[in-house]
Amino acid sequence: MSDLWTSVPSLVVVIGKGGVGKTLVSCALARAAAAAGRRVLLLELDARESLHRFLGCSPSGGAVISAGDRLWAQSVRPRAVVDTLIEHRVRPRWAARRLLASQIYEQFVAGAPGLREVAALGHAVESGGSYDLVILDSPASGHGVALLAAPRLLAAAIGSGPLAELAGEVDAKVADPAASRLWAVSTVEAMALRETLELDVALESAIGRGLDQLVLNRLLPDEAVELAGEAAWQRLWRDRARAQRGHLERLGARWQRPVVRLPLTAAEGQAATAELSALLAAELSP
Amino acid sequence: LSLARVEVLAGAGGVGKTTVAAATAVAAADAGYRTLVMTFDPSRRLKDTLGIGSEAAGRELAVAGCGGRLHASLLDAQRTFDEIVERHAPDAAVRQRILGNRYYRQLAGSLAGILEYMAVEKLFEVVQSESYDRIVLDTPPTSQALDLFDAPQRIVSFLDSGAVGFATRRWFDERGRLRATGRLGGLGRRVENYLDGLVGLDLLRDIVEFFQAFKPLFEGFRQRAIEVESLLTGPQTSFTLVTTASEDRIEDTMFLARRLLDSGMRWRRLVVNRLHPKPGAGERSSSRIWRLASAVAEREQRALASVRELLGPPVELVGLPLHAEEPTTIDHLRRLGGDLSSI
Repeated sequence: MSDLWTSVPSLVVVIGKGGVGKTLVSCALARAAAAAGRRVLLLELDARESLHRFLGCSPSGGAVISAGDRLWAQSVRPRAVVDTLIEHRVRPRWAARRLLASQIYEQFVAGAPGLREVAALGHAVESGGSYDLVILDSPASGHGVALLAAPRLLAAAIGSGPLAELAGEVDAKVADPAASRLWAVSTVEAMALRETLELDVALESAIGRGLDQLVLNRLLPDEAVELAGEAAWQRLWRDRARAQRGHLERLGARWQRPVVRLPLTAAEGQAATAELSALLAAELSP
Repeated sequence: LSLARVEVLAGAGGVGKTTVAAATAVAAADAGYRTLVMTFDPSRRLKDTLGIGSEAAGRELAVAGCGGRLHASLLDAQRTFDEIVERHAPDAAVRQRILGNRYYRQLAGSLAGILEYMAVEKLFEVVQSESYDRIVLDTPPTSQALDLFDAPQRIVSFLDSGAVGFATRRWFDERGRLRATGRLGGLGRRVENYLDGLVGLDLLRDIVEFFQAFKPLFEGFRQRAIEVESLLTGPQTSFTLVTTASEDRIEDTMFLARRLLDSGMRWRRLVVNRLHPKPGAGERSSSRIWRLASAVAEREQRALASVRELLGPPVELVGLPLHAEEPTTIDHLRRLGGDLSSI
């Protein structure tokens, strides 16, 4: 069902609003792909790291760290990526050093729109050379659109030079459905689903392609719809399950692309990752 | 429900912070206070619930169904920045130079957290106006919220640093050529072309132009930033943190709490939102769902217990039950507000 297990594409960007379990899903996907034999690098963008909680490794601190067989994790520091880019592409070396030390560069890195996003995506694209699959867990704050549209905007703003080149390369990668996959994670609630569908439309207009895969997270068991009894918990679970069924029916009419359903789990941390990665492997394996 | 004059709600993304802010504001209005709820880019659902639309961007609109005592406003940082420039620029020429600057229009957004600062500045303005007894501020998710609270301090240190003086030196001559490279003749042209290729000289020109145009406003900015800082740390402001009872959300929340306390801000309430009720032992009508519901409720209770241990007396702990659907009317918010005050 999924070519993620076998060949191209080499990049998956996981997006969605805060609090829907995006990081857990990213970790489960990475774990499942690694178990299927692929060498996987999982990247996160928030400086407040959280991958290690779900992978059972130590925090990355910016470095690539091993998180199990064929699986590595890294917290991307966009500033460090831009610095490295300047170091590698600017010649002579003294000019690079002077530039890196200048205050106008400080302001430029802090102030240029989308530079941090382009640096992070650029790092993901360049890492693709050393791994079979790179998965990027996008930041909880802001929308995936700002992240994915940044390369195109920056390339247009700068025009030429190494940064513009990088932005162009990154844009070509994220805008090409054959080269990358865009996954959205959502819970089955009115607002979360509506925002996810709006995200799809916004992506179409910003980079000319929409989402490839929808992951519905924290589904309640189907039989909760028929749960008997009038205790507070029984009413709540029944009402939520019924609301969920209504949302799923309405979604079915609007969404024909692939969907993966993941259940609400009582497990936490690594145990939750293990549970969901087994389910993802079963759903996605060829 | 005891509220400070300025009640700031903060927390990680997806914990229902905006809804809790709206419910808090409805409760304050019902208690007879002239109340304003200010929010950053709220979901459309909340706008629908409060019955206000994008026309509330940057201004205060009355919310129906609250006896005229509740107003709501959507914070619009760019508009606030524009208003400050309009108000404080020494003359029309400076005003035009700033507002027309391309860097200002497109790029100033992330400049040293200036947009976050604009939100705090707006809060300050509303407090000064004395139009409201209670102001409830809904902030963006944790990482941006930190930028928000640090903003006054950062503006002051940015203005005091050498960066501004550096940027406002005369870098370009009248023809828009780099002065330094102009003196070097043909080699200078090559350096200039090279820099142009690297980052785009137009961008640098815009940045320098922006700082030069903005220079007359710096001192006023600096003064207000200091006053805004004292508003945030002063006795009329208190913070309510909102979280859900999951391990990682609570970790984020405690991180935020430490940062607030370190910065001298008052943290008085922790709202733990979306709690699942615990199934009774005799209610195993479906054992699979019973087990799941019990495990979820127990996990939350464990998280709650660990939080309770961390909190001292000045911080009030409030638990809010999960509802089957998100609130869609003022009456829903009113009920939620009732839950807030009863615990």
